[in-house]
Amino acid sequence: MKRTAIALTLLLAGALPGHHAVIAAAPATEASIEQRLQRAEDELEIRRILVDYHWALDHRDIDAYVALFARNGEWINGSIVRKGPSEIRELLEGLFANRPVSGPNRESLHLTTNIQVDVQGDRAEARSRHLLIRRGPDGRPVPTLSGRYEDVLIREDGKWKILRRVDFPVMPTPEEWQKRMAERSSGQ
Amino acid sequence: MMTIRWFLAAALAAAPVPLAAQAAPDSVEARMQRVEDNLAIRRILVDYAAFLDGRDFDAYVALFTPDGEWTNSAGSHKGQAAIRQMLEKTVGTGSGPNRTNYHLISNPRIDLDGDRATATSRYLVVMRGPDGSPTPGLAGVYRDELVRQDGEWKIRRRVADDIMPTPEEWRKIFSAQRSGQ
Repeated sequence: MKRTAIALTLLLAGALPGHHAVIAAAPATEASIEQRLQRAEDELEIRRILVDYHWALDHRDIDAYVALFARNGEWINGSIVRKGPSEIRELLEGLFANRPVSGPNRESLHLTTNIQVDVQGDRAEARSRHLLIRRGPDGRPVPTLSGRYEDVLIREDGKWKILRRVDFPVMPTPEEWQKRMAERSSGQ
Repeated sequence: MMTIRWFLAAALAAAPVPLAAQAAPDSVEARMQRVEDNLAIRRILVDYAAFLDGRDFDAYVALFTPDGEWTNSAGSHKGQAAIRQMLEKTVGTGSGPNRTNYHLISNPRIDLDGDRATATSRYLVVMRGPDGSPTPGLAGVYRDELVRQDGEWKIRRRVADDIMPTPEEWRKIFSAQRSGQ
């Protein structure tokens, strides 16, 4: 009789809604509706970050750009490594040094495409492609630079942030690009 | 003393009400609705190009509210009839898919606010070049206001901001092409 009472108590305790032991005991493959919803929200939020990145860059909005990175966020392209908000800010200030920072930029825009997102709890990996379009001599859009990004993102204070972005230029190569930039600055 | 205790009890009793009201936007249903809304609006951004490039003007016009507005630097067209007129004037009367150009749509940014939303996206119009190769011809940004009407998202206002070439450059390119051919 006593044993039955204990068993009944355990059963009732286990059946309580929201009991953590019950949730933890469920197989990992069977995610709850809430977990599945969270994953869908995370994917949309991360896609938005990848697009906001180019929105901030093309509008030369340095504050918005820096805010996309985690506190220890890193931006990497070949041997160039910038870590933390102040180094990332300096990177952009250098990029915009010879151009007006305020006002809309109508000389270039980035297309962000081919987004792949893999979320694992509070950490995610993303891949995407970028194509930089610049204004040609007659005003027509000219594809100028193309590449891929490999990102690691983390949830920091409830928001997704870029922990590491690695830029892999595809065309032109970094050497070709530097040559072209040197020609442009000497020609002007 | 009695009054203080009564106030305290009233304050405690009242506290859960605003908390419950705040929790509603975070309910599973409300969150799911926002995911669905985001996806539905993404679909509209891409459908727009499909109907435009496919010259399906009925479907194109139906993406807008009855009082919907389409605007670019050349002017504004308000109402579905006016939008259809603008289309027929700029791309001719619809007769099946065209093979002279198409729109790539990218970079969607959607901000939801209940039954309203704003969105920006980018477009790159790829045009048939002289030897038939696809050639980027026009790049710009769409800025949209959308509303939910009878349970469906519709464009209330679309601004097409041609970034390159500018309208003046565009006219120059095309008059040069016409005189050269």
